[in-house]
Amino acid sequence: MAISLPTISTLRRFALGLCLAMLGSAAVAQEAGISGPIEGDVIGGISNPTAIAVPDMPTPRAVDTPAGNTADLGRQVARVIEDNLRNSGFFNPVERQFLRDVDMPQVTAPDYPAWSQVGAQNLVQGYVQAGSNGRLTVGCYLYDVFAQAPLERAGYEVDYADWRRAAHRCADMVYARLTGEGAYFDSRIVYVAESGPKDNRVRRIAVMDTDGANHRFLTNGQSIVLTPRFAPDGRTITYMSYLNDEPRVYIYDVESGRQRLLVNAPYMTFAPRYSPDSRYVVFSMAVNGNSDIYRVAVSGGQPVRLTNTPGIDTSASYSPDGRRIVFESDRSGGQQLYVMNADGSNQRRISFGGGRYATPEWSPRGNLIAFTRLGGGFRIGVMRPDGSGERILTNSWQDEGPSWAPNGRVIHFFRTPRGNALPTLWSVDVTGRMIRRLPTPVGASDPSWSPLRN
Amino acid sequence: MTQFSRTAIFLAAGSALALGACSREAPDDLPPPPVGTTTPDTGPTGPTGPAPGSRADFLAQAASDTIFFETDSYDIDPEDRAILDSQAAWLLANPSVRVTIEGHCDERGTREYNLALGERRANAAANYLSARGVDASRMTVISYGKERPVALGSDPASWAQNRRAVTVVPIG
Amino acid sequence: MDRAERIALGAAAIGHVALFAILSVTLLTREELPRREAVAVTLSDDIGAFASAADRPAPAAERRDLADEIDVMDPPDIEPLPQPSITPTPAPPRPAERRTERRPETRPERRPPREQRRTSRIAGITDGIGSTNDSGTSRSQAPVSGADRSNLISRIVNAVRPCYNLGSLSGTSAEDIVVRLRIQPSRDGSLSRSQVSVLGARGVNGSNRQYESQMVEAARSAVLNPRCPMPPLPDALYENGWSDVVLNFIPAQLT
Repeated sequence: MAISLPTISTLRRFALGLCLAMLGSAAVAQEAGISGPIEGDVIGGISNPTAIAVPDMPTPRAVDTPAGNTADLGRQVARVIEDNLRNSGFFNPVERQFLRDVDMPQVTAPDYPAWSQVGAQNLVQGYVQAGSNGRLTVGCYLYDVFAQAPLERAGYEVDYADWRRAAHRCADMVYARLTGEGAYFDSRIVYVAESGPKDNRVRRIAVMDTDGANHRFLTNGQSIVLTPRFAPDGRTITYMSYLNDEPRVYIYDVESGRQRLLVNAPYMTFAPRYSPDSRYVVFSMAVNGNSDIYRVAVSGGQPVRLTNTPGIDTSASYSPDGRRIVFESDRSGGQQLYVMNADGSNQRRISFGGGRYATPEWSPRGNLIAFTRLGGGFRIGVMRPDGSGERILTNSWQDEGPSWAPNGRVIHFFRTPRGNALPTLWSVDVTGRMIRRLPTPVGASDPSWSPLRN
Repeated sequence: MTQFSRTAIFLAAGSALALGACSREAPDDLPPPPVGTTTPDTGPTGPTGPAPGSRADFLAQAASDTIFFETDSYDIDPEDRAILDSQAAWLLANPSVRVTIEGHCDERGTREYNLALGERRANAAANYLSARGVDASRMTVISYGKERPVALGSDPASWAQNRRAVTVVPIG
Repeated sequence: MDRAERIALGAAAIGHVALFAILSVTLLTREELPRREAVAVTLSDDIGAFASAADRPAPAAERRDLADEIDVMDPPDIEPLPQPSITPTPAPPRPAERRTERRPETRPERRPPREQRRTSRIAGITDGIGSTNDSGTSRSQAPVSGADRSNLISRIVNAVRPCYNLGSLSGTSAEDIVVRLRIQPSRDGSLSRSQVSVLGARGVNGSNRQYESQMVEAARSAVLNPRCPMPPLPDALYENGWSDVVLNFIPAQLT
């Protein structure tokens, strides 16, 4: 069907000429006879959480399990997934009142128009099934509602007691597929639980799932404990304890609950961090007022000294390839960040901004180093390993002790208020957005993320 | 029983407890930390004043058990020297007493750095006492960083009180 | 982006708005402008459009872009925690090397050379006017003037932009990726996934490759989002006009 166009009005001709002149473009508009697609630029995306629907998961057969009835578990699994996605800051789950019941056939054949009508761009469906082998299976399906297309699916089989992990794994699949980032929900956090007044504070090592569930204390609070770190293999935790009034680094075995001294020396050892292969720990040892950085095998042995300056060298952190170590030193007069080879050679300063820089933590992606910047207050920032591209992510009285999520996208830290109040755990996206408090049963400091669980 | 042997027994008991704790399945049974540190305790006092060699005696005889530092510093100033001189005199007069010297910081430093800074401060005090004739083997240094403040405020007066080194004589 | 380029982009934006405003006034005076209600296109309608649009298949080179990626479900990789065993519902096998398959070397090169791209980004308003014949599919019918084409593209871009949501990709190296989409709406203004094809993504490098498919999906979701339907456009300008549209999704903000 051919439609002849009316001639262009003088006004429009004038308008076009005017606009082209404004743009200083030399392009000449043809008036007729153009073919091919029309083309334009959509410049500047917005940044909103993605609307996602996570309806309750049905079960092919309602069965009582040690973790509850599978029908009820289907609801709980969906809520765990939804909470994870919401707490990431990147997703805006459709409110429950708009969620529809999903039956088993619909799990693989979603009602796209209905989910579109409630505004969902993505849809997570699934099912919960009790297996004959005494384990629980959670099927997890991710859909693009607008494109009316499945995106990905996976199934997870767990012991009944670990049903939350299946939910975390499903949420991880969804998060990774929709953001392009690595997963991190199926991991844990070890931190220092703090309670009591500032001058008589009780500190205990505690672990919890990333969403705060399955919280437990590993120490009883009779000794001061500080700076726990998960081993990259997840099997042990290193931390500092004032057991017997001797501040020393310990290794705690997660499986057996046993702990042992890392280095038997008559000096304070502190600031322990694992190597990426979990075989070594770098730490600081203070000898007659001089703190230097050492490395020792997790299994023990003779420590190797890596720094040798009169200043305070501490807070060492390995690069993910294990070849380099970033640390802080006040050898220049105030705390600054330095990078050295893993054997201690080639030490060079990377931070040069005003104020002081402390507690560097190398991103598991390798591309950034998070740190605490002091000056006025404590703030969390990131910079590249060569010291360029510094960005400050938070602004508060005292934000300290950054720790990376396994995916290198999210940073945990602790925030201490003025006066006698307890510190709290917070997370911030590496872009500086979405600062969020992590709920803990009591005060909390020194968070450290475990690797993704296996 | 002399002060020294009591301390030795105490330490031995502590070590035994520690070993026991290390071999246990659950770490929830860590032994209580040894007493001492900053807890004010006058100790046993007789009608004629504190027993020689006791903490109360030390507190009564020395100018102070505490010296203070400038921000991010571990320098011993003249006022500190006077205090440490009086402590040294008491320690020389009570040669069997072992002491712990605690280093502390205010809250305006990061946790790990402050552990090192507190250790510097405690060592500065211990080195001074040693130079005044106190046998180094009688002194144990320990840093609490910013973890055990005495003043709870977040203001210059509180910070000044918390930047300190404390010489602690065992109770009793 | 340097300062000059920023200014130029700003000028281009102002130009867009001015042109849009002026031409809208003149266009709206046209009798034949259909006054479709700007309601969200429900996806049940889209399914209808999908069926009726079967006679306009996308060129093969384009179809493979994301369609392959999305259409094929991953097999249900049951991850036993920690003991392996189960196999739930079977699924089509995963196509081998689907990632590397996405950008075949034989794909026609549609990107203009770098210098030209830069120009097009600054003076986006002239894009599509007298530009290269990007598609071999157009059936030459009635001519559509350059002014009309500019007006059409402005209206389409303005309709789509509010739904171009980068979400988690915002502030990351993903913002260096420019996605080029081709949309071929039905005459009733409806648009389904089969009418959207991906012409390519440029600016992909080692640091943002992990975000490439997400950037493509962000662009595609923008045009398929029922909250941002095609604006009412004159039926007379459908052929050789808004029946075939190429959109470049440029994440960088005009700041």
